[in-house]
Amino acid sequence: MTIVTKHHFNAFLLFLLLGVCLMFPKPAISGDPVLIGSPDIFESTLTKKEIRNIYLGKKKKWLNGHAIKLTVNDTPEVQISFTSVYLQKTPAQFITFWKNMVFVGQGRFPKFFSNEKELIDYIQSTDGAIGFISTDPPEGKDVRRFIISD
Amino acid sequence: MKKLVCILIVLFSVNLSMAMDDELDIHGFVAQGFLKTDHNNFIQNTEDGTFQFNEMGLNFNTQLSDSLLMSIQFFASDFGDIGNDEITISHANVDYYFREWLCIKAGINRGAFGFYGDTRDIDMLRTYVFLPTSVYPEAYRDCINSAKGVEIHGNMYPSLLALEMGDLSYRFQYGFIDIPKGSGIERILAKRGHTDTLSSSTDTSFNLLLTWDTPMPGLRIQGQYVQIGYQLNGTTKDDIFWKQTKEDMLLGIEDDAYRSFLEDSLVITNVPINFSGDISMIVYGAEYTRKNLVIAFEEAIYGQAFDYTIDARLSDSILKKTDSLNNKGLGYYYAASYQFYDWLKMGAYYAVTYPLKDDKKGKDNLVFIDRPSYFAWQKDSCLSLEFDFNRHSSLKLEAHYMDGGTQLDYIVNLDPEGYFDTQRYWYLFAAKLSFNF
Repeated sequence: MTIVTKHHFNAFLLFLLLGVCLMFPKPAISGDPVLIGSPDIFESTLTKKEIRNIYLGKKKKWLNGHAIKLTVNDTPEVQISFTSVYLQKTPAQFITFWKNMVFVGQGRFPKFFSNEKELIDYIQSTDGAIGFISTDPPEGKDVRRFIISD
Repeated sequence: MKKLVCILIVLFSVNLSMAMDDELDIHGFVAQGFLKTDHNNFIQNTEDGTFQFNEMGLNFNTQLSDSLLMSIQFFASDFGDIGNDEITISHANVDYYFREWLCIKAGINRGAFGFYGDTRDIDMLRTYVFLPTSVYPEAYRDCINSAKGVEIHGNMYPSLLALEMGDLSYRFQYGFIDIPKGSGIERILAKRGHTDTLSSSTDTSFNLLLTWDTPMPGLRIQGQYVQIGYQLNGTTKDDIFWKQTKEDMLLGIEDDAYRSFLEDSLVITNVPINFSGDISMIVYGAEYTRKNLVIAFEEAIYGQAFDYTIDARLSDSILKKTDSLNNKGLGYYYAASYQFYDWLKMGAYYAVTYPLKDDKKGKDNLVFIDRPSYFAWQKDSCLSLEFDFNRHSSLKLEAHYMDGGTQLDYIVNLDPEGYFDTQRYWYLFAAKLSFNF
């Protein structure tokens, strides 16, 4: 008598495959986010390394002497894309990193925006603010769109 | 301490009103844990299960100017006999950003220690309930978490022949680390010296930590040296350690009559003893992060270099005997964690502690004379699960399989018989619920 039939074996393989897929989910990563800053910022180009240093709290001031104010786009796809491309971190690792910075007295928690329009308005009206959005900013918004170089 | 808290609050309020366009950020956390062991009390009553394991903190920070960040954090914790929910200041400082490579911080600063030492109070920042105790002993926590003084820190980006060599960051702390009577480090040193403490005091200390984020993405390497000047005054215990020490002292005397006289007249138990010297710590390690996987290794060498003077009694006179005590302890661990989903993370580590690295079996050193040899090591195999309900709350479940008991008397006071009531192999289960905002 065959206890493990071919049918059982195929079902087992299917569940195994499903389990592996669930265990290692691949989030959809959209195109590279667009980096924008407040109009008072002198810099027009940022290197990927500068973006990383800014978002990891190492570089804290712009050329004009204003403190850098970080914002984070809380839309999952944009956030995943930004943190993986520029920071080599997952969003969860990025948030943990900043909780760490705050609770050891090394920095201030970035402002999170789940609405892109609010984020753009904040950056337009706040000296030294930087953020990332999914596409180019709408016409009429007075924000700096950074050119990204390697 | 209360006076200092008041001054800081007043200063903070005044400065707050002078703050530029920024508001005050307030963050906080509360964590409640539960501990249970099958044998041996890791802290008080863990054999029956205990809730004497909690932390809470409240953090205020604001940007006073473009270059000046001010931060203050109140903290309370309970870990058996340590902490008892007394409110302390874990840090209160201003950080002046001069350049990316030069920042100066003054006040009460978080003590930098290894990769994760300065985050040990903040449960939600790690996968594990307990950081590996071989490198991060719980008993050291109340002392080395904070230091009054100054810290210079910064980041540099060296290159070699036009090749970028990654990021090099440094933290140099100079100041005062308080090790009062009753603190974890004092208890450990007193036990190692078989001494009842009367007073415990520290000199200035310094701490240099270098971190290299290598050109290989995700790989960082760290090295650190800490030195703390320390004095401990007390009386020698009336125990087998000092009786054996006396026998060893008399071994070299060839004159039988004189040796017999000393055996009867020389007293080195219950007499004043003074330890003066340095506590040092060398920590180094590597951490590799790739997507959801984090692998880490760290090793710590704990040094105690002391001169001690015993006021031995010989008949009616005092005989000062001076000697030196040089101990080196060793701890290391291997750890890995993986985030399977946004809500589930799993971690494991294997951590090994030897309080005396030259006596890993507890056979040679007098320190272990009155206890089972397995107090010369502790090997901890840990498996941990973290469930994140959202960004603000999590639950952790953790199991440890322990071989050895070197840290069993760090927090619980064991009497001579108590050492032999312990068991070499034991389990520790921990659960912890954390909230933060």
